[in-house]
Amino acid sequence: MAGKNGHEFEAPGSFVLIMTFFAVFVLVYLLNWKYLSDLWPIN
Amino acid sequence: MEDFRVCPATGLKVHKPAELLIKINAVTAIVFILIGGLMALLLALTKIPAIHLLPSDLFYRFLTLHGIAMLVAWIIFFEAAILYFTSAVLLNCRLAAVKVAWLAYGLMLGGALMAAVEILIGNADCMFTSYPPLQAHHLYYLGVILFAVGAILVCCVFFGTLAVAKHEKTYEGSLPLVTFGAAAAAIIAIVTLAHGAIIFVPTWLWALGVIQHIDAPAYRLIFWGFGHSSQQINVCAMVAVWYLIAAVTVGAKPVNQRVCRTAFVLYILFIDIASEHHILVDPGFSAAHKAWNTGYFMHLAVLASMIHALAVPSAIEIALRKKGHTQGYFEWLKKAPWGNPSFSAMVWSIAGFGFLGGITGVTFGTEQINIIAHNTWRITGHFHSTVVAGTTMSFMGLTYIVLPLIFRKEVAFPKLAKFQPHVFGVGIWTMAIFMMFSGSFGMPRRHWDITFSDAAFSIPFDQTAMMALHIFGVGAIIAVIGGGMFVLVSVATLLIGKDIK
Repeated sequence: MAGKNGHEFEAPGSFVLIMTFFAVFVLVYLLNWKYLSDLWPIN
Repeated sequence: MEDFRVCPATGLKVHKPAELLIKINAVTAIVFILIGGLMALLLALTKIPAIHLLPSDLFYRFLTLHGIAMLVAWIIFFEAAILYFTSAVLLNCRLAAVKVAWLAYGLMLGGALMAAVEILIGNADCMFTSYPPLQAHHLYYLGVILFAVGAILVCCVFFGTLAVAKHEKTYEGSLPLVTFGAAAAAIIAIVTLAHGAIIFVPTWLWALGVIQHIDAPAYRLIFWGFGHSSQQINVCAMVAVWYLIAAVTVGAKPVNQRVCRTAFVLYILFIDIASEHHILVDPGFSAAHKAWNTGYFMHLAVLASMIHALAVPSAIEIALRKKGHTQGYFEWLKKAPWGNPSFSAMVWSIAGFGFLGGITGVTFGTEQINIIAHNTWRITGHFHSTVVAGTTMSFMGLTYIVLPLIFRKEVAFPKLAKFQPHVFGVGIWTMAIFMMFSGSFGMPRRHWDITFSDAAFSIPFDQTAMMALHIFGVGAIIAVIGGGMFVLVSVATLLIGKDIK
């Protein structure tokens, strides 16, 4: 699969997997901050 | 030359004394996973409120033994085998100081048995952490110290072997990546074991009555330099094993080895600091100290894990695409050798360590979030994700390579072996996820009776958390079955497996 600059993108499947991992990471992190803010609301 | 044999499959020169040491350390590790697994079953059956199997004294005793057998003995005996394999075997050279290696084995075995016996006879109901003022019998601490000294000697033999290989020019160019990763693990091990010596020697003297007082906060700080850092040895060794299994099973080579080596160096420099998250709720340390160590430096070690998380799957994908599996994004993944238990165990390990252990580790290690997670079952679920779903699973995968290569035996019950990583993976994921889920409702860790049935006031938990606890139990039983399958296949291979000529 060719990238924007013409170089071959050798591992597109791994890239998708890693992006999925990042998305889950961000979601879990945000949910934990939300949970914390629900327990100890700051006004 | 009579001390060597040539492996017909790989062409590697195998030093026979090193081979024997790899075998004995690996077999001892499997004996300890059997002991630790049995303890795990009894503990899980106690945690399920509907069963609540053990009385409280046996629960804490077996919890201590479970921690020592799994976190220390199983893992470090297996890592000793890995260090000898990645040095003497992969570098085609003799093992340095074979007698010292046997002394190391004797000290580790003697120390582990001494600690285990003290636990079983009720002299060390202090759990893995043995926080003062809880005090065990002095022989328990002596057992841990002897084990640590033995493990330090293993690292010395490993580095001696690297020097021998360099001196005798048994390899060309840089160290192989797997050996480099093992060397990083050994460096972390020496730092870790030094922390162990610094804290366990005075604690031993305290148990003997020579020292009158151990400062509890200082103990906790230094203990975790040993207790958590020993898990960082695991992380480093596990990643090295990923590269090894990926190379052996699909011929994967990382795109940029220099980046991978840099990531291992980041582990050496920054991963031990992650131990600080154990004292995030400790009032004896300043907020600046906690934030600096866990909020800044620790993330450089997380960066290293991110690099490996991209490097290993991409190397596998490129190798499989070269074999013709080029359709779409994921044909390579569909056509991967899922029937090979070594490969499937590695994939379970990568996914378990990343998605379950890694994400939760960074999240719970954040100072503010740690306040609501500390001492709940979320933490127990996290470290079962890293140490069991990650490290143990990868070591299981490596065992399926070591059995034919070093023991020269065909894996017994191949169909059982094929399913073993999947059974263990499903079990441990279920168990860890529902530990964390019930922990998020405040379910405490290390507690014999989480319903607080004899308490003066009632502490009701949400029924969802109680349901999660029972699903945890189902996961734990499946994981124990998967672990039992691993022990059965390994032992049957050694006893009745066909010899490979």
